[in-house]
Amino acid sequence: MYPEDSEPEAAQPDAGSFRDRSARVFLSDDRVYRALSAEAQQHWERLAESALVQRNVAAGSLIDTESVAPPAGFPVDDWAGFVEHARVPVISYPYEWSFHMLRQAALLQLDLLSDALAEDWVLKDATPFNVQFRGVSPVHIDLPSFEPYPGGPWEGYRQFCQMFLYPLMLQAWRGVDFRPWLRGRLSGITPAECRALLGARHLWRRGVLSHVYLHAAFEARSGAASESIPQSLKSSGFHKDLISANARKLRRIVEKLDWSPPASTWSSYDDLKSDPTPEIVAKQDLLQSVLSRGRLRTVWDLGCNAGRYSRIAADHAETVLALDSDHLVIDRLFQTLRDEQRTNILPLVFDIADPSPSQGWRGRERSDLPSRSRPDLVICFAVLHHLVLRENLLLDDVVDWLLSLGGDLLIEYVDKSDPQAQRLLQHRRDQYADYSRERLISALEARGEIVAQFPLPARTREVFLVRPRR
Amino acid sequence: MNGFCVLGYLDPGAGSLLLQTLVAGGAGFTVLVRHLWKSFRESRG
Repeated sequence: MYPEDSEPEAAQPDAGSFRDRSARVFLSDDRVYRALSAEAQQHWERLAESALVQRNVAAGSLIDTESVAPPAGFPVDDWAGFVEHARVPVISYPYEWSFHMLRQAALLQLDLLSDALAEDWVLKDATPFNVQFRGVSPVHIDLPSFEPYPGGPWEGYRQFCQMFLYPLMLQAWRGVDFRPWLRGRLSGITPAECRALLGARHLWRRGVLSHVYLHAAFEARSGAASESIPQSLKSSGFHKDLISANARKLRRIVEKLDWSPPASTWSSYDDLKSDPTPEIVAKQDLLQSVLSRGRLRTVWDLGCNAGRYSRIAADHAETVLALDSDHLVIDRLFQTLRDEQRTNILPLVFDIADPSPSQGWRGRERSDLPSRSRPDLVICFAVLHHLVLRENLLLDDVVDWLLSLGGDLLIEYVDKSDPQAQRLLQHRRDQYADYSRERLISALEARGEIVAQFPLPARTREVFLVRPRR
Repeated sequence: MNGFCVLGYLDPGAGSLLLQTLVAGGAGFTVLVRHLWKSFRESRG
């Protein structure tokens, strides 16, 4: 699975892996290593032989991992052992996931906890940043989270509530989009905040009294945990069956949470079941012809909507990022792709005009999307006019950003005289002198080479294939 | 592992640890009562 003859370049520490001192992730080209402390190495040696790990790796729930010699450039003296993880095609964050993606990750977390407890292990934390998606399948990537169960209560319970349970409850019952909350604070929503947002009228719902109201009350009366509490609880008879019971109850709550509003701004934009318009057929054909030139590693489909073009790209690429700013659109796409058992399309909620930032400690703990994925091809159909005429972005800036991604660009120009552009301009002053075919061509040629132009049946639309100047 | 080397890098919150006795059900309530009784006795010296 891992090539043995290639010498990796000096591995660099991952800027988001430092809080847990028992291990640290290092990256070298496309390879992912984890350095382990003496204790974590001991745990790993036991885990590697356990049915727990073998079963969950085989099921795709846990990342494939093997022991390796220290790669080049490692500070060997600081660590007791090294493992290499299988690479996840694209790292994504919970504030880029849709509701059902977060729910799927929560269920995986609880299932792994129950499975671990059955073999006298426990997950010491419960953060969704430890879960990634390969296509539409979640996988837990943090093996050092598994520790021998020491007795006493589960230390990850509060984190599970803040990062999984409360965001899902608020989205399901109040329609509060959890993504800005998780993006705004990396530790999630506190019990007191969840109580305030839910209000007393949801008190009757399963889990609200205990996991929200009592949780907030207990937190208000207690401070940070000290060693005496878990020790005292253990000597008072707390055992792992109580955690298992709690995990089962949490699972019942989570699996019943649902979010399925009837419609959103873009949820009925592209109906895959009805006959495609001549424009769509023409774009499908030209995308096929562009993709048939060779297999690609990564394709970004901006404004993917129902995933029409993402599916075409998926037949010619290892990974397709299906990106759209509409949460419901991405949520439905995620569920459809799971039904279709697609393995190489990752849908993410992504707003080009307000993208996930680099943030956290020193602005580096979580990185922006272009730092995590470099596309070989960017599909940008029917998006540019929205970015300029609705989001008020500068055309030059948009082109600059698109071509800075490094891949070829397939971009559709929609003229102001097009009915869709007219709708955008209907109730606003046309201040967009920078939005024209000539300005677009000029901007594209300033940063790349226009390889081909494809006029569409509607004369107000045209597609350009552009190669960035490298 | 012998005994506790808790707490880890994560602050699990004292309230959250105690609450787990209640959310787990009947057996957990007994644990909480024992814990509170122990704490009371210790506070009385």
